[in-house]
Amino acid sequence: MTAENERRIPRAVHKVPTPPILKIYGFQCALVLLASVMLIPLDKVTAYSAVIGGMISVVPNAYFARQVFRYAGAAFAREVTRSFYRGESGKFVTTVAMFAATFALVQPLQVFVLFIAYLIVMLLNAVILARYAGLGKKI
Amino acid sequence: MGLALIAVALMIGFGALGTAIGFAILGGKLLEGSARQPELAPMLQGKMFLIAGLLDAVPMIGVGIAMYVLFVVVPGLPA
Repeated sequence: MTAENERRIPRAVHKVPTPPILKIYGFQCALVLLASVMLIPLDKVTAYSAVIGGMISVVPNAYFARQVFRYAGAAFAREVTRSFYRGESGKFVTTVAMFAATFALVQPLQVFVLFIAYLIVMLLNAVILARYAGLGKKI
Repeated sequence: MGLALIAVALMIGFGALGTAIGFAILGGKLLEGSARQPELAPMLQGKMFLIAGLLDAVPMIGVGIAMYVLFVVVPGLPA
């Protein structure tokens, strides 16, 4: 194929932009760690409870995002759906395992702080994703 | 203690059931939409990812509370 022919061929119409998964979840991790560092002078237990709560939200979500965007495009619709289901079941199992491990192994623990951190990171994730979709940046 | 375990089972079970129904509908609609308009498939995938994040938020909180009941509340209960 000559360079001229290459220029004539239009760029792939179905080029699929994937969201910056690493950036999104890296940002969330950084925010959780920053919040916990700020909580250390207040109370150590509160600080690590917040980190654990945040990570219980970030890690399964990152796994899910990784699975969802393994395939893309109409030609791979079946694979997309399959990896979507796999990602969701993996997310569910990971969340259950992480909560179970935390409550079974970590003592002492501030349960209220853990749940609040979990909720905040979950909402943050939804807001970031909605922002990407809403601003016209295809995710 | 028995009632607490039943509560845990219900929380996890119904949480998983709700999520499964939601995801089945979502996945089915994605296949349908991709078959109808293949050029929209990437956009649909992105939107589906967003909705999926919102869909399983509440069941996941339920799972967290269930784990709390199972590992913190139940061991403290008298047998």
